Amino acid sequence: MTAAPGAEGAKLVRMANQIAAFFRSYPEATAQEGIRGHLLSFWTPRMLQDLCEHEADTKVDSLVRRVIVSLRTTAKG
Amino acid sequence: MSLIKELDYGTPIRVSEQTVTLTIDGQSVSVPLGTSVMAAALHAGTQIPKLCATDSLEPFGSCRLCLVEIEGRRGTPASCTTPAENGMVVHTQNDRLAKLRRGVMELYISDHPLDCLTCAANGDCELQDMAGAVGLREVRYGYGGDNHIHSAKDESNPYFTYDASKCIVCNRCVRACEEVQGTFALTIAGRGFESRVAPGNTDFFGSECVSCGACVQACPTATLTEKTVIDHGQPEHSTVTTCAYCGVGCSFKAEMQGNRVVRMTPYKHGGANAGHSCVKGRFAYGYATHKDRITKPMVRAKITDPWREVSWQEALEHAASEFHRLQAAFGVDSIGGITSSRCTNEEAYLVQKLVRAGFGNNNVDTCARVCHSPTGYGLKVTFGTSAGTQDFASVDQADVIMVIGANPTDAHPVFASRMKRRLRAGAKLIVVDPRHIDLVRSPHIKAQHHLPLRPGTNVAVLNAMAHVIVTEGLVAEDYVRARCDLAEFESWARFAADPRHAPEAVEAQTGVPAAEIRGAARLYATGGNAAIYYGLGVTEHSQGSTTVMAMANLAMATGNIGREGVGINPLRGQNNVQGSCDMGSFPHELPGYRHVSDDATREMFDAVWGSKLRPEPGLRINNMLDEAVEGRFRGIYIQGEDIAQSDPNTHHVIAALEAMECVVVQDLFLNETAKYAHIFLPGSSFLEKDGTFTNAERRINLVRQVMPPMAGLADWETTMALSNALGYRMNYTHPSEIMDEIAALTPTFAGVSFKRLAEVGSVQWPCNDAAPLGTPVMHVDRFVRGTGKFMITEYVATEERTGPRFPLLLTTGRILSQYNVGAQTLRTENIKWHPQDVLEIHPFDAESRGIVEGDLVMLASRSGEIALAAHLSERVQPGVVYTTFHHAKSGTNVITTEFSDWATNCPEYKVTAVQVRPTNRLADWQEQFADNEVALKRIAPRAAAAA
Ligand code: SF4
Ligand code: SF4
Ligand code: SF4
Ligand code: FES
Repeated sequence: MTAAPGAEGAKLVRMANQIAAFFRSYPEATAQEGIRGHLLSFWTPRMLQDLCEHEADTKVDSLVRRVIVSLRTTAKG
Repeated sequence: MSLIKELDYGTPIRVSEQTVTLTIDGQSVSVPLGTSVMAAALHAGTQIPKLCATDSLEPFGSCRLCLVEIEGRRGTPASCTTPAENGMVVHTQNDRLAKLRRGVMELYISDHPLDCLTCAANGDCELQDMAGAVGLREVRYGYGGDNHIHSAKDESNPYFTYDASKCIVCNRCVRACEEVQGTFALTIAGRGFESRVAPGNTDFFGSECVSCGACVQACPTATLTEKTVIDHGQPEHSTVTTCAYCGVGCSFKAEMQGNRVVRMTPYKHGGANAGHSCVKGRFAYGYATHKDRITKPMVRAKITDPWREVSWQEALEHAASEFHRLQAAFGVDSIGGITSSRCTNEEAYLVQKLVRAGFGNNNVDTCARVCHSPTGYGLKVTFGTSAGTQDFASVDQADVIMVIGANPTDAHPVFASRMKRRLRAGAKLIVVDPRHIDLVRSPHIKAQHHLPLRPGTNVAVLNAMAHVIVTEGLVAEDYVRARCDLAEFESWARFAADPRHAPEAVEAQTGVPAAEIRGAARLYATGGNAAIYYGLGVTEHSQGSTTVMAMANLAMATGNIGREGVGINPLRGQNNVQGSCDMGSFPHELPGYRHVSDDATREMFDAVWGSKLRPEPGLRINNMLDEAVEGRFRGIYIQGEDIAQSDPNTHHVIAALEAMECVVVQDLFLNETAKYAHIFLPGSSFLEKDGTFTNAERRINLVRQVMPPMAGLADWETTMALSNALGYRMNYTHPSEIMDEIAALTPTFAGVSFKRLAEVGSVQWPCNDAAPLGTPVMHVDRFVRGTGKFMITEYVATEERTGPRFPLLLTTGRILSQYNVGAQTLRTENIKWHPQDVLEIHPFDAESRGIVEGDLVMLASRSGEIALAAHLSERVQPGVVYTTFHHAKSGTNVITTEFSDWATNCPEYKVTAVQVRPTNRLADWQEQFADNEVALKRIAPRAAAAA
């Protein structure tokens, strides 16, 4: 597995945060579902994986972080 | 093959449910109410002589050649201005009329040069035809008296001449400029004998004329004539095809002498243009045979090596072996492809098929990524389909027209003419645009509301309009209840009603006076049929998709979807950007907008393609570039797209291209991207192939070959050959077979075939058993997704902010004479209208920086800097500057950033924080550009290549 180095990883985080900013107006469960659905529909598995590696990054939006957790669970399941 | 001649009914074809029946020359004929006697006669098979009448214009009644006798009426009325009535008995031919007509013709001819044999219009002159038709045999008045035979010619327009000596002052050109084009550039100057056509007090080039050609088309004599006809003579055969420039999709007759295009004439039966054109499609086709065309495949090991011309076989085998090598070394996902929105549907379909089935991944994208991807996303979420809702003709029924982030008179001129006609007839206009675009105030048109918002605040303005509609009780409740998801509506209405969205609350942020927003919202909600037209000023923002959804919310809330005269209408940029999206050019969607994760769809494709398609989305263009910089993405096949010029943040794009090992560019010219390519496959122009384009109103038009491909292969053949070299078999003998495959696999295209298109001219998808002739207006009884879905559209400001270092906002756009990256239009005479890109800056901002008109200024953003000439203009507000991106050497995208739409990554071209300062030198990038123009474009001399 290649770790996503600096610049490009930061870009993915920014993109995910932007998606979260749109869905934030919805109730938490709907928002999480929206973000998750969006990521699964439009991101490649590798981009998702790279994003997941940034879970601990303080720049990651808290909504995104919760989605990352659920994505991991699906991946494992 | 022969020359296609369209019948001229003399006066416009009227539409009416009522008919009238009359007798003409003893024959009974029924026509729609409002039809002229002249047109009724043609219905009955009789052509009445005419000069000042033509069916693209309202009748004028000045030449008196079309006289007829009507029983029970005195005198000899003009048949063009006399409406047919029930029971009328008309005589069009008798000795008295013949004598009168000969008298009229005699007067005309007495002041007309008799150089018919050497005249450019010989063979295509209505004056000549009419002289023949009335049997003129002698002219009793010689040239001894006053005449205009020696009047000077105006040859200032690059494409047509005005030879006043041949003018019969029929006024057709003046009326065409007013009624068809809506520019009002021409008048009849002087009185009586002195009267002449004049483009104001100047020549054509210096006038308001936009060179649309409508006057040339309307002129019955040689007065206004295309220079190509003067140079080459009359065409001998013609073929109907489709313009390859913008998303209006105008139909043209390519009028030919052998393989040479003598002129392009707008086709009266064109579904999108009904006989009108703009300067690009009508005149700027010379690029297709420009000497810069590359017609030999070429390869090189490194981008600093000179290109080496090779055979098709060598180039294709080399490309295939490089792609195989990269996939073996770096994985299946290390390569991808880009389809072209300028190529045909069939060609885009083949490229995505090659990527998905041949490369075995979904790494395919298209330039719609950088223009209208938010349209696809936003309209799919809210309505259920990724396309505009109306046909162009729908605007004729609109009472309120709201134009947001679009400049149709420049970018979609033929549609703009139609829109302006409706506005002159009384429809109300709202313009939402940071700039004072032409539409805001033009002859006989004035916007009721211009909302000059700060770039980047579309969503805030639309939410404020929603607030007014919800809180002032303007919601079309019955419509919403019947058509939309009520729960979603209610949460949206609560959101919109929140006082933080009130126009007064967002005034400071948007810069738009609250009263204007309130007025615009009330007009939109209560003014009758309200239609929204929008362009890249909506989509190319970090909130592009949100804005599209916000517009959809407004339309649903006011019941403005699902009939003529209303709707959400994207004005799409390139000729086939709708089509390339329809054809599955996005990494997550198969043709017909079906997600790659849908098992049933994939299985259907697998069965026909003999493939094993992947269920996960692939990389978007920007993701490909990012991964290239990281070293994961190594090779790309780019058909007809110039990402090095058109994509944002040029430094990053070039770094990515330089990092790749195999860049294959297929294009007409050595474009900017080709400077970083290893294999060049020569492309074919729209004149050199068969296929289809789909315009902004979902209209599928035929593109027909009029000359052989200059490089030997049409683009679809090249993709097919590359695929075969890769080992994935494709075997089509004609593009119609590709369309048959598309139709078999795509429900919305099920009824489309070349045969059907040839029979009916064009169809708008969905076209299937339920709608065999297509679907002009969508979502009529129900939304494609079932119920309309309101979305909550919170305004999230872009991260691109002005500050002390970059205090101004740059927004970008394009102009009438040029098309996108300029590769085509700058290789035509259109360059005369736009010799360079300039920076529009408000006099206030200029003065505080010590800048005067024409100064060279440095435009800097955090991405880079470029030097441009300054043009002081009050079309932009203080705090905003504007430029175009037509000239590669300007490097506008050196400035733009990588910020992009949250949903689709459509770049934020329309908002960049910048600073402007006077300078006396070019930017480093521009100097490097000049060097690269030579260093990266060298072609080895043929002898050396052979050695
Ligand atoms: S070319 Fe078009 S704009 Fe120019 S004068 Fe003729 S009709 Fe008017
Ligand atoms: S220029 Fe042509 S169309 Fe115009 S008035 Fe003269 S003859 Fe008629
Ligand atoms: S409006 Fe567009 S499609 Fe029509 S002629 Fe002009 S460029 Fe071509
Ligand atoms: S054609 Fe009727 S008056 Fe000229």
